[in-house]
Amino acid sequence: MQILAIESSTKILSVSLSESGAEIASFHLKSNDGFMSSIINSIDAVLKKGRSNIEKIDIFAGNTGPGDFTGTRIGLSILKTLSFVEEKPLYGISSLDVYAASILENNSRSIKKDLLQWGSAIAVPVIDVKRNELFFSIYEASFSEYPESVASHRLKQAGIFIRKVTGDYLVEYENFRSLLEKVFLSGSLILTNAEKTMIYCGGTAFGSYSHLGPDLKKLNYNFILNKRAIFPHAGCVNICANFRAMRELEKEKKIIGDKNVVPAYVREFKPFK
Amino acid sequence: MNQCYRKKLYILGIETSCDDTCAAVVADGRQILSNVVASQHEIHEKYGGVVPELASRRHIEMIDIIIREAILQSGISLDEIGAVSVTNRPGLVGSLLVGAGAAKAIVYAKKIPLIGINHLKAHLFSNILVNPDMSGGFIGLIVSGGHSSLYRVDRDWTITEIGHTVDDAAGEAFDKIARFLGLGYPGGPVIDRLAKQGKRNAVFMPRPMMDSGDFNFSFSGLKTAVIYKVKKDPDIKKPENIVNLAASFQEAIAEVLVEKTIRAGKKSGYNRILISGGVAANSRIRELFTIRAEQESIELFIPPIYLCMDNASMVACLGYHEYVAGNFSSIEMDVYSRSDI
Repeated sequence: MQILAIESSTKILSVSLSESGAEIASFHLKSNDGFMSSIINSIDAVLKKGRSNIEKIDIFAGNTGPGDFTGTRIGLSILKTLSFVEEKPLYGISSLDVYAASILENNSRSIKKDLLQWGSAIAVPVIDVKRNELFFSIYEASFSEYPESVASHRLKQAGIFIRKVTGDYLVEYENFRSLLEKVFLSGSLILTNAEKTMIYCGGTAFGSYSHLGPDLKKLNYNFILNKRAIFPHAGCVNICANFRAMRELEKEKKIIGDKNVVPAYVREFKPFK
Repeated sequence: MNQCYRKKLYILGIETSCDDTCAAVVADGRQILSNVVASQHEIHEKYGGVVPELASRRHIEMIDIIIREAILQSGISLDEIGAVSVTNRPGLVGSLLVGAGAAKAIVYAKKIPLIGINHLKAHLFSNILVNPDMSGGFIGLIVSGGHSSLYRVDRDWTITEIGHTVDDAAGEAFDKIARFLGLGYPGGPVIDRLAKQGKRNAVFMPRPMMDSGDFNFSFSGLKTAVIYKVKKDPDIKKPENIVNLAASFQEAIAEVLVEKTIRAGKKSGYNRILISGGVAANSRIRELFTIRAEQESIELFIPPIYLCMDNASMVACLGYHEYVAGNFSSIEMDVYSRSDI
């Protein structure tokens, strides 16, 4: 089973091809003036590198945001049309899920150690959504799979799953730390061994606000910022899509995909009038 | 005789330059097999004009649905499509990107040519769909919410702009006045409807740039004139008076458009004129063009309303001509907010 995933929700365009859950080719490109001119060649390069072609793709996947409006729309326009032309399912993965998968992917060894030692590990993806606001959610790693699990990582003898444990939060940069602390103390998220639990962070907010990482360290929690999880990689879109496909195969005996994939926005758009 | 056996060239056209998501399949540049339009009027209505970000948001929701519908209605399969032509200039960049992305996905998957289309040039080709043997050699007026320009189209279809609006487009003036008078959006059809019950000479309106000696237009002054009249006499907004205001305002726009186009038609020596664009759907403008063209013995081409409005059939039609001329676009094709014809 081959999955072609496109990540175009930030200034870094990334394309990933996986076969049976393992990435076999990828391509990344930094661009400040959009991906319109380079996106098809990037897809083509990945398919060639993976000795595949578009007809061999079983599943398409893309990041639906929140993220860069233009990039997300270019990526989804191409994916939706490819899905229609090739008559293959498309998964739209939310960017928070993509970052959570990225955090798990980049820290799997230490997360496994945390789970064995303390019984818990937390991931906090934080996205810069402009206008001085941040968008985040809290995920928890575990050895067991839950209905809300969004991705998994397989290490020696252990599968680690990650699932969302809170709603999504939109907050001004200045109020981010206090809100995060409030959420940690609230009923929706009970941190057992709070002083020992490792909290892994990632997301574009840490790229946009260089003080965010050091500021978090001032809270009484063990924050770890993984620099490789600041910008998303299409490989992580691929991981989430693969996870969902496997689950659908198991439950429904076939891969259905998402209907009407559209970009996610954090605010209702209000024209300046 | 060979022609009888020649395979038809089916072109899929995609048009997302402004606020309508459009797709169409046209055979040999002249036979419309499907023409699907998803209008966004209800989305932009409360703002009294097109909001670019909202237009882009709607396009990405609709694009695959509309293309699927156009293929389905055409009765041919996607595998029979010989090329995809898509508007890539001029227009709202966020909107253009959605159509261009979809077009690129299809040509890449199906290994067929991509043809980037100039939206304005496509309007000048729209009449070919109802009059397939129409030759070049005419003056074309493109009048819509975004454009009000005159073009000389020579016999070899070389296109030269000879005039444009120096401020608002005619359709923009309709929208702004409708919004000012609280009549709704889009302004053109509302004012057209009201004007039918009003007197065209009841309220004095200027005829901007009528005798400017060139082929440019200006419509923002008319907007000011209406606002000034209403401020001076609020009664003019009463239902029994507003129809007169609408008729007088519409007449001013119609007269300037018609007279300057006819003059250009005569000066060019072609004595043939074509009008297209959303404002060319206005009933009074169509009527006045018909009357004046007859008086001046000028041959007039007005495509049916569905071809005057933004549509993808004209994009597929021009796509055919570009295909025949060998004008293809690279897969690296970009989109542009502004472009000469």
